[in-house]
Amino acid sequence: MSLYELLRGPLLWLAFGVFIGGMVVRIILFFTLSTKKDKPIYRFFSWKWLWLSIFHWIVPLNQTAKKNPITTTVGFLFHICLLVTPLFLLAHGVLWYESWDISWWSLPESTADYMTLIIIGCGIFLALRRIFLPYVRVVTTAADYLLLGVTLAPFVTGYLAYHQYFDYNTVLLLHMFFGELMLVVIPFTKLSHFLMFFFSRAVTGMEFGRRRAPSW
Amino acid sequence: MRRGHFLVFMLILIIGSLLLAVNLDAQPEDIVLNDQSVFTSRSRPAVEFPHQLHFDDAGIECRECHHRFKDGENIVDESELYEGAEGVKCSSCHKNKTGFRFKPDLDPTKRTLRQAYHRMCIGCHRKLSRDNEKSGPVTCGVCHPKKKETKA
Repeated sequence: MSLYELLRGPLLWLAFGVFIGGMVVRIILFFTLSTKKDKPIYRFFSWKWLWLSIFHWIVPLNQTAKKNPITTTVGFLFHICLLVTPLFLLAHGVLWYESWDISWWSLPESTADYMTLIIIGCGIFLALRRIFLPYVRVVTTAADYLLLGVTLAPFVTGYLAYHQYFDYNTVLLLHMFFGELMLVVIPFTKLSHFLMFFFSRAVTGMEFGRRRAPSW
Repeated sequence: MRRGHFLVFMLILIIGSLLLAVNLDAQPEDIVLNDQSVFTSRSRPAVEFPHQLHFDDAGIECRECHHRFKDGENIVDESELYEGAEGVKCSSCHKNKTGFRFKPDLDPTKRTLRQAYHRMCIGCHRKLSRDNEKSGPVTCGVCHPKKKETKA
């Protein structure tokens, strides 16, 4: 079996399996742990504070966003492009169709190209922020830089592959490998915030909400 | 008598090779897949498809790619496949929309032109590569090279 088929077949399924299975376990762990150790969540459960909290943070409607306009802008750009680009990339759309007969919308290639550059640029900004801002550096560990690297690697290699810089086949195989690596790493690291964000946001919102001191 | 046999033999040989030559001549060697009427805005460089390589070197039968389906069965006849023949090009049925019928009693198309090309090329190339046989490209940039040199 060629390396391409290995990365596109068995290893991709393994990555999907670990990613989805791992996140299911994370959610189960959240509920089993919180029912034991954080009973007030359920005693003071409130849909109102849950949704209000998630809403105020999924759009930049909170004090933190207002106080840090640059970081907020970079953060939002980074996250939007990070989610949208891989899902609606033309080349990925072709793969959706080839693998599962799914016809998918796709972005114009030049737009996706700029969005990839935005992701890489924002990623560099976030790294520099960790290096130069003392209050961010103090909570930064080596794992944070590594995770940022794991997150950016699929986009850097994707950019190189699209422009066919260096050896195309090698770059493309690396791109697939890094994409799968990122999926595998998500459930075990803070990259799981893509989903756990909603849980911690809801809990924080309810906790401060019942004290009438909204966390935004 | 022997002389007559020889003449007949030579005649058959000459006519035969002429027919063969005419027949071979009818097969385009390389085709640039660049249908301007369907691909109105191209995202990637056009593919240079080595047509002759597929039936000469790879020994693939015409009907393995050329098709016209009736009740799910490929009913195209090789005699219908010559350059300029009606319906010989993929784009005569596969356009920007699916559902075209070449003739009212034939099956409608399921794929647009882009989908048809990708499925035909990548589908076959991947199958061959999985069977550990000599195969063609399966990744984007090899068929759609940005620069000529990168096409390995």
